[in-house]
Amino acid sequence: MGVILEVKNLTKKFGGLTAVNDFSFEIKRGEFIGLIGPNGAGKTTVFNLISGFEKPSSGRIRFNGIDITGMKPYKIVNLGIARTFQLVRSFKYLSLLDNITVSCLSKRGKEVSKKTGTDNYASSILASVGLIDKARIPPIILPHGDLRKLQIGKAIGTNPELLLLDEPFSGLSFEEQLGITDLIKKLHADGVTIFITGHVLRELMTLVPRVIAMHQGKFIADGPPVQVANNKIVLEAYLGRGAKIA
Amino acid sequence: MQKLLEIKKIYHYYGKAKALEEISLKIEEKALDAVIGPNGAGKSTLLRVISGLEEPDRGKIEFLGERIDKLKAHKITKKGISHCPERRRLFFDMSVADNLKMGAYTLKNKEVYKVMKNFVYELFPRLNERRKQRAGTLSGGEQQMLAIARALMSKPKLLLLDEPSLGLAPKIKKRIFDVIEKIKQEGTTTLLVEQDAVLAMDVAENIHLLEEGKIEMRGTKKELEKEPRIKQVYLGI
Repeated sequence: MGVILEVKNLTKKFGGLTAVNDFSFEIKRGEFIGLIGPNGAGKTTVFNLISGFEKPSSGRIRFNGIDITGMKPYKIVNLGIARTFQLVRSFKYLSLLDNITVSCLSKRGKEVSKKTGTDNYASSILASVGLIDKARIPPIILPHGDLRKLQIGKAIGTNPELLLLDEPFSGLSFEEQLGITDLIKKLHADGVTIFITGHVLRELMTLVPRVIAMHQGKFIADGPPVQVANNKIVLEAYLGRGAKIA
Repeated sequence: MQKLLEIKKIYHYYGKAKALEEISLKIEEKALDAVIGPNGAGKSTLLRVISGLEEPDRGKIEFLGERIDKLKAHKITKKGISHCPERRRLFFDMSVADNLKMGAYTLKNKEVYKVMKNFVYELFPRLNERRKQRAGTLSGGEQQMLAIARALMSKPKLLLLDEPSLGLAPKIKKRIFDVIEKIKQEGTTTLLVEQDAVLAMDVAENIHLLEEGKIEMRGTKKELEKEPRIKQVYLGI
């Protein structure tokens, strides 16, 4: 398995605040990996840097060996990285099918839709996220759980190799969380490399075989969830200074 | 001891997502209770439901034997519950002294206002030094002090404190928590919500562990100290 993503000494400063501080890690092709850390740790900023929504202050990001540091999001998506957002974003007044169609018309999306037809491709994605019976409905009138699924569908439409999922479970009921879990597992089984953040850890820690932990912008641990959860520094980051492993 | 607040089987939803599920909680007069739990457990929602910023979908809240769960926030403040919100929510363009005045708007008596002002300035000498300064120019720790002081100005019977340690350096955190202990000693009943379990358990008499909207466990520091469930709730496994 080759390295798909290489992050080296990544740093992002916002004025006096260092949101990401000399952060390094690697992800191998086909991995299913989590990024955890307490609120404000810098998880979303790491995603913003990888996907091009923010430019790093220093450090390097390589995807499939290509240096993508500071590249624009639309170029990065064409290389094969897609992401979702913590707060759902969609074209509120377009139908769900049209929402997906937009991403199917991206460079990599077209590689698939050329063969099957854009409508068929978009419909198959809507079906895979469980929204096909709402294809003609606009997001504005749909519940939050459906919008989360739509977001993932829009990301899949760009035919990504690496999918960044930012807090895909937040604000969902337990049943809705299960639906999203199944969907993510299926994507991973289809060969997509998955990188996923969460601050509510119950779902995440049982889902992925490997997690990276960060705190105050810094790397603190990397390994299987059980091992990371028993790391003293991780424990202190979540529970407070002086926390002991019972 | 007399009970000040009693919450009976409260439920609250945001859309379909359950934020609070069958929460019951009693707070005795002069007690310091803490609700701990990871981000998203429902801690802030619990305080918001008590102070009337949210109306619970089901259940009862009684304050001094009287139901308050259908009352609006400003009425609840008048009954003697003061809410120090997460991220402080100060009036940034107003001076320290004016922020304190805003906290005292329910007071009818000028003498009480003076007494309370002296009390909070004694509690936080730093605020006295900076009383003419704009709140927005204070450091993070000073802003937190001001938020607590403002909440105390109405001379509350019950103080709700949401995440007073948020975003503060360990040393400053400690200082804020020393004051929280002092407020308790002065006799103000306090319900503290805090992610930093270590700090909260050090000061609180009763600790309630919240996970995904439910109270998972409660007890004193001694009872919970060796409890592996706390770590599991925070870290998921």
